[in-house]
Amino acid sequence: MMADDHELAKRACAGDRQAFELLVTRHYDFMYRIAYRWCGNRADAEDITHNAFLKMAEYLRGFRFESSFRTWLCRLVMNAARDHGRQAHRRGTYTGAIPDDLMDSSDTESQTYAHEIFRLIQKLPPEQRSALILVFGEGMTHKEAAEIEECPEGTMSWRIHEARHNLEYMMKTGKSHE
Amino acid sequence: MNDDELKSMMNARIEPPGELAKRRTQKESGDRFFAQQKELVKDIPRWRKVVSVACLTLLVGVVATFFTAVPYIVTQSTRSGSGTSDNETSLINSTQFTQYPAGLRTAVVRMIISGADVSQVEFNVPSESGGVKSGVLDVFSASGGGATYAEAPADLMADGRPGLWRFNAENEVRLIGSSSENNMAQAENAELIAFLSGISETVCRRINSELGLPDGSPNPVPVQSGIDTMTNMSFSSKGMCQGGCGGIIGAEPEQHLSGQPFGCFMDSDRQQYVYYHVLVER
Repeated sequence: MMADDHELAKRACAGDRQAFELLVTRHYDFMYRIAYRWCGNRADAEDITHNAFLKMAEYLRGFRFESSFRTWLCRLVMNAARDHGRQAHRRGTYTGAIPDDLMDSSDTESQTYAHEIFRLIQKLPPEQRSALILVFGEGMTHKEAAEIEECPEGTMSWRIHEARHNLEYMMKTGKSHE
Repeated sequence: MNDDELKSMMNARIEPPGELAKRRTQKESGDRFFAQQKELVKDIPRWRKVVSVACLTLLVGVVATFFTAVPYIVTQSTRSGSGTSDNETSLINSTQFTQYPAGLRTAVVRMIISGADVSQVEFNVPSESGGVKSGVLDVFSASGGGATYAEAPADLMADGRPGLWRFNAENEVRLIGSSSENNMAQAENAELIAFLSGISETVCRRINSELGLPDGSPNPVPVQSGIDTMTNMSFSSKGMCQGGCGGIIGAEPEQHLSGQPFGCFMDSDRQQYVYYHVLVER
């Protein structure tokens, strides 16, 4: 039977390297996906994911096993993504991150549309961007997303509403959000 | 754009991450995690050392405090002889109230110099004189002695209430001024004396101790009888010895207070300790 995340984490804390590596392998793709949706390109997404796992290594001993391990990881990757964005802004290397690796179907129109959505999402305020990624990208409920973002569920619903409103506004007018 | 469209766009297929990046993350995060664990293990002896040093410092502190505190405690307990705090307080208080009649004495002497006769002087206690002021003859009047009336501090008194001073010329003190031969004061020899009845025994003994009176021979405090300590020279009562007078302080059999212008005795008639202070010798 496959060990659950909490058990692997405990074994890792007890000195089991294999258990730690298994945790990384198990959650890497999920973390990378969130990071990718945040920044829109593979290089940055890999960096964000890498940094998030370094944070996991740093804080795993402090994990209290009260929440889901996945929820905790999600919080780590979101924070790593925000940090990455701030650092890129400071270095002046932030590009607005036009997605370069979307591999949709051969439907070019659909691909262009997806590109456009990703481009617009980059322009949303960080908290609205996180809300969209968690709810529409990862299929989480508002409650689950609120737990990751450490805010009330009502706030999360409001962020989703605002994010959609701003996206529609940007698509119609071509201008940045209100 | 509806929810499904948005979901579909958000979930557009994303190229999987490079295997190399994945392995690098796996290795580096693992290295960091286990390096941290080694650091923690390595830290244990260091923590033990820190705790040992802290304990040693604490011990040195306790010892230093002990050696500093002991001489201080010894000094405090032996200061002023056997010196309990009660005695020290009594000493301060007795000094405090012997000064008051000394001030009155100055006022009375000033009045006598101004032409007043001792027999005319009045000590009208403000609360008892009902506003009657004798003016130039009143020790407590601004136009007379100019002294301020004050009650004795409550903590000197046996009953814990402020003490009432009385002033009269009904008694003598042996070997002060002219003295009568028997135990009955005579009009021409009676001193003008301030009395404070009802002081505590501790204060009484402290006063006599300061006077150098032997304590406990034959009684801890000299016992006197027949002393008029209650009459007050005021507008309503002369308080002057005229015929039937009070007694003689320091008379036989207990002569400790002979020649003492102030001191304390036990009034055997009222069973009270009384402080007296001669204002005018005659």
